[in-house]
Amino acid sequence: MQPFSNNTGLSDHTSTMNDYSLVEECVRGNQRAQKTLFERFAPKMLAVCQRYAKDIDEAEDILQDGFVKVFLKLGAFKQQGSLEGWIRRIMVNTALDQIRKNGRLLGDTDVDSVEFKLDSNDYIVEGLMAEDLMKLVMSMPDGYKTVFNLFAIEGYSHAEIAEMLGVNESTSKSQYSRARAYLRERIEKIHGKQR
Amino acid sequence: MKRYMENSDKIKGLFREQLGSHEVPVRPELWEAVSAKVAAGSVASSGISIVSKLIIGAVSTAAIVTGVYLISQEKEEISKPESKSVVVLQEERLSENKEYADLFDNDKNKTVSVEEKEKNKNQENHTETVVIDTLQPKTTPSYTPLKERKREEKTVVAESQENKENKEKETRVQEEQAKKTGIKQEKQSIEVVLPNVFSPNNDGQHDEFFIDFKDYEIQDFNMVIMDKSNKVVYTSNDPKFNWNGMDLNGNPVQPGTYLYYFTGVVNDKTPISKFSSLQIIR
Repeated sequence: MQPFSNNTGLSDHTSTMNDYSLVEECVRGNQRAQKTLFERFAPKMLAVCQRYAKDIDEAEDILQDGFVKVFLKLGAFKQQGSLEGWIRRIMVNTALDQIRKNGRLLGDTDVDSVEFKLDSNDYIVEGLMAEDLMKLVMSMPDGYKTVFNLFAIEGYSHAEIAEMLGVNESTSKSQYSRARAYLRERIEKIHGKQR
Repeated sequence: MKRYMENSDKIKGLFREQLGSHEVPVRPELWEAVSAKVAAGSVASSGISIVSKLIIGAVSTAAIVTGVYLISQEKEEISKPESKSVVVLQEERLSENKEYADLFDNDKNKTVSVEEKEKNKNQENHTETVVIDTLQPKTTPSYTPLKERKREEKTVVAESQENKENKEKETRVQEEQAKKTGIKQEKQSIEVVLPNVFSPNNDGQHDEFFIDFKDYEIQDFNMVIMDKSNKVVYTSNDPKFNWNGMDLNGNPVQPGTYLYYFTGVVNDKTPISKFSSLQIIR
């Protein structure tokens, strides 16, 4: 599959630009630069969106809304940090807005601590492919999926997550524990079948 | 116990390593939709569809019986003093329809109020902006129909708060575009008719939607048609496209207001981008 093709035969110098020059061109309104920026980051960002969304349609909606924000706010991007990190934060925030709008934020969870296994079986998770893990994340209940994504993959602290989601830090921690327990159980099942 | 969990969090390590930079294929239509939304200055999270914004905004030209528009222009070679402009002729095709005429009257008022607002804004800021996509007597006096100008001067329309907000967004985008295009304008113009109504009912009249670019060479052409909920119903990379009113799944689209948007490069040099509303009548 070739998601993007440039069939015009015109030279496209924007594809070799570094992030900062590309941003400058985009801010000036160069449409080819905007397209290049989209093509450079969209595949990674769609994967981000998918982890938060309930399905692929919602992920695409989030991606679109997120990139519209990216282009409208690009002038405010400071030319020093990581462009990818900046875009990713916008995507995550857009995803959280979407989840909030649909009332799915921590919807199906309570704050009880969770029984999770803490044995030495952690090794079994090695060797799983990204695609499998992606499916696992997407199959998680909304309640702790969001916290898991924010903490484990995006790397926010529980304090930051608590502020982003408007919950207690302890809630964030217990949701993460649930997510971990859920994933561990699923992974054990997968390995059980394979053996 | 807690420390143990964090130290030995292999699940976290695994998922982060595998999914932190994971990529999935992106459908090209998504770029077209994003591009159209950015062009429309739409803040997507506001929940207002672009089509409704278009109708509120100045660029909704269903109202105008005949108008000539200046659109985006940018000169690559700065050495030469002249630059290019693209003039797009907007044509009303079904003005005799009473029901739609009423609709257009509404739009007329709104359109005018936006233009006045922009005039005010320009005065306040003392900027020499060239307003794209609206009538611009400064640069194209000969193209501005008298009727339009009179209306612009005489009509005063009360504006709701929401309208104001939308207009400010629109104005801001247009000012940005104006900055980008600069003041160096005008020499070669191209005239293109942008249809804003069509009726795919096989009666032999306006059954297909197309844009006649005449003899101009359009490279890098990209066009997308969306419905009110921003869903893409048609997309093409061919400037000689013909759309028969079927959506991407081959089903006829509902009558109503749509938005179309295209970008391209004229004669290898002049970038154009233009959007317009499109009424579909069956």
